[in-house]
Amino acid sequence: MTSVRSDICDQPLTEIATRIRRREMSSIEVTDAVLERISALDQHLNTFITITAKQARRQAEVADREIHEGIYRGVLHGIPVSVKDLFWTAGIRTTAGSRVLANWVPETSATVVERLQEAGAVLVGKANMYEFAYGSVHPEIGPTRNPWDSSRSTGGSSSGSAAAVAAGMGYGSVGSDTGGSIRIPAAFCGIVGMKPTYGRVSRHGAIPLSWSCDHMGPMARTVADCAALLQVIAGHDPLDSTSSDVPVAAYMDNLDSDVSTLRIGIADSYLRQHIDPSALILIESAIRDFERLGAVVQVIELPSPTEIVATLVAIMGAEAAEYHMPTLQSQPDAYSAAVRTRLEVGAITPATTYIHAQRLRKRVIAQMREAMADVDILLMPTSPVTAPLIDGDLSTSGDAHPGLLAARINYTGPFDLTGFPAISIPCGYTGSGLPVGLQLVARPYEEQTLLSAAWAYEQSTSWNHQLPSTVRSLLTDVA
Amino acid sequence: MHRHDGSDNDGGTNADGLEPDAIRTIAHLAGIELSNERVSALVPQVEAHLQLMKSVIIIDARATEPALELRLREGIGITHD
Repeated sequence: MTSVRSDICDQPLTEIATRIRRREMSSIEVTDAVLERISALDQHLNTFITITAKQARRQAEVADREIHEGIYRGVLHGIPVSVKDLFWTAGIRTTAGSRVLANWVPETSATVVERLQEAGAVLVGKANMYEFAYGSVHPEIGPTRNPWDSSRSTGGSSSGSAAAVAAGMGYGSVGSDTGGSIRIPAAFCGIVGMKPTYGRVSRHGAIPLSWSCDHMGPMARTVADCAALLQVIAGHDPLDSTSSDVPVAAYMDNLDSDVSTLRIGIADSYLRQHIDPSALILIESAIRDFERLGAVVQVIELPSPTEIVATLVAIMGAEAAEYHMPTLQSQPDAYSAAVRTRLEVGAITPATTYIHAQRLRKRVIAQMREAMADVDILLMPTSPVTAPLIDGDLSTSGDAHPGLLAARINYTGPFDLTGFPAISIPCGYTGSGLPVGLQLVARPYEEQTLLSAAWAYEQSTSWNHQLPSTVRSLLTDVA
Repeated sequence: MHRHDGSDNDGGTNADGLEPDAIRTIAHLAGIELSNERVSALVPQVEAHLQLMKSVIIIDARATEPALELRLREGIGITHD
């Protein structure tokens, strides 16, 4: 196994925040360390589309000055973070991993970015991602490489966010998730990724893939770090018509809630279908860990993931095509072949099929609610497979066969269709050293239940203390 | 989920052996002009997509109605579960 995290860049966000608050360490020191790490690793991992070093240093200096004057904005004050390159950033180009928007510089920022900045966070860069978050990378931008094995994919679409966090290039990131795009790369890169309830985090200023399935959420190395990010970005936003006004809980204050009475549901259809045996061993071990914590595990029935994901693909395909129609008409060649194909195919989805899928969605939500009546959370793998090799992977192969994308999101997609909150946390490593993600799902707006359960599990393991092997060897080479 | 045969709700398309001209016409109606070369490249993907869509439309969901989403709240907003 790899060495334990010890560098300043590899410490938890909450740990660094405490040291900055106590003025044992300055934001500029931390920011410079992170920028140095980015400088050493980004060329190897292709993590960022834009690195905002100058702005980051300015923000860090402001943070240090404010903290010196006794103005402390909270746990993110002075902390270097990144955002996926689909969030509008005023004055900083926002490409969405595409050539269509290669030189687009927004005049305003996404609500998520504004909230991070109001909290005093330091933006170190815009993270690489699948082109428009739709299944594969643009070949001119290229894939992000997995910090655990650089010949392997990070998964996506929030690929750069996951790799950056895993490799210590920032203490957290914000990604988006329409079929699994936060949780799958979090699982493949051995970090924590959360997709909150639909409406919990504003979509305003996030370039959409599918407006009714898009979720924005935090990615970090620990559950507490994820909670810290969610605390800042969650909450009602009048600029997002689907934003919820359900009050936001004090996530960080309640992480150590009692989980000894937790009722966990597992369903065979979400546990053993097409799963890599080495991943299944770790998931079953995690179930036993939860039982040791006092949780009661029971088998329940859930609607078929295959049918739900087909429904999601119908909605996603049509909504994505509708959004992209003007540029698909005016500059089709600016899209990669695979994304162009997905959009063109989505455009010919019959209207009746889209409406039927929305009917099904209401029904699936009701079925999920009913299935969760007697359990607090669901437990399942985040992905049936570990990080695949980049060569020939769906994200780079150019193959736009819709069945391939559907299979990839079989365990995550159902909760984008229903909008239920879900989190992926590391639950161990396979024999070849690849991380495996455990997914927990809760009822709508019960993010606190998810975070508390994930935190309790995390405290009983040491999976998030490991430094990715590729990062260790690259840093050794640089030194 | 319960299924029905889809005969009353298949969107007027047939995933089995869709002709390139039909794809071009449907795409044109959707606002996209496709060259012959482009249509040829799309045929297998369209057929696979429509096959997947067929697996959606055969699931019976007539007891639910998405229009509930449009119910107004206080005259300006939209309700959400």
